[in-house]
Amino acid sequence: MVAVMAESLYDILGVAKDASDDAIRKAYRKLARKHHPDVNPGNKGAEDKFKKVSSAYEVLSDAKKRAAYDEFGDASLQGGFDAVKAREYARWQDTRQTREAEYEDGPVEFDFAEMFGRARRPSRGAELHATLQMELHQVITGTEVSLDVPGQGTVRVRIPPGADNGSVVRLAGKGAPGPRGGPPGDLVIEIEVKAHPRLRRDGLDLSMDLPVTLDEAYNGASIDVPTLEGQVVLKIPPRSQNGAKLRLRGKGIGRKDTRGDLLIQLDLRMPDREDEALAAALRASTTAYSKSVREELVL
Amino acid sequence: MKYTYQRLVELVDGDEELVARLVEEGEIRQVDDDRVLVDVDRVLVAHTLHRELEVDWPGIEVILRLRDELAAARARIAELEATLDAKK
Repeated sequence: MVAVMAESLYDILGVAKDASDDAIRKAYRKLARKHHPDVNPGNKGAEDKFKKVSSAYEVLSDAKKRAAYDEFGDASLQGGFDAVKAREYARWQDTRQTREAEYEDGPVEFDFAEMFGRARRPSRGAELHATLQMELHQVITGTEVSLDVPGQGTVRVRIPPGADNGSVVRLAGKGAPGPRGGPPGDLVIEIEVKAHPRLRRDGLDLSMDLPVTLDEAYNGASIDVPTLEGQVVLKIPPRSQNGAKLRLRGKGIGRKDTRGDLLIQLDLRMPDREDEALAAALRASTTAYSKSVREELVL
Repeated sequence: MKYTYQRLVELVDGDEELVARLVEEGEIRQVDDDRVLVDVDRVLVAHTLHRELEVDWPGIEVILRLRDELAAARARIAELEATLDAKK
């Protein structure tokens, strides 16, 4: 059998594949003159030939279209053709053909002893994951929770003090049962600590704002401060400034043998009722500053 | 000629899970305790659908089935064409 090659656009114009733009233009003009419907009225064959010649010239006179035609042939003439995708497809097809070429058509025999042997052996059960949300006070004392674990029933979990966001507690052998009598997997619990409305956390340290009166800040005082473990007495030194930080050692979060601190930031509150005597006293207080309060305010 | 399991795994770019799934779904036919029969073209199609086109397993099954039906239809058409040619 003889294979019939489709006529290429170059064949239609009668030029070589490497013909110059000028040679293509000349060939087109010559053929267009010869087959133009005005020159051949009523000649259907000439009209068809003219259409083919025009279509071929439209592609070969455009450098981009010609390059695509040279690379992909007739496929490039179809609407919506994308050269990048066509190139990717051709590469993919090459890889596929290379891979398939090593094997004969139809079913091929493979030795799966390795895989089936592996599947038949007992294997460890899957790891199970859970997330546990904790309040900050539970973090300080540590806590114990009960979880319903599929295949394991109720599991009691002790979370030690000092857990942080993202801390992980792993319970060996409390995960999914192992297939074919294999050992169970682990239960992995990730901790999420809820934000506290007043306390901020930085590692094992805690910090909070403490509102104080003008009198307490200027004259000093011993005041009761609430903590998550009960009240403690904090001594405010005389003439403390707004925003001053005082440290309560060992009142932060404990983990093993280490314990963080509680940092107290003073939040100075002015009297909110009118008082003439206080206003006068404060006017007089301007002489009690050792230097201008805005002395270092340089921009 | 018998090929190794490892060879098939390499063919699907190391995707052992896909091979296990093909066995599980009966797409790779088990002959006995150790041997299987594999249509390499079919495995490569499943691999492309799974890895490159992110088709899920029910989708892969439908596509493979439609492919089989298309191949059967083409074979039937070729058969009918041959019969018609013979009658001419």
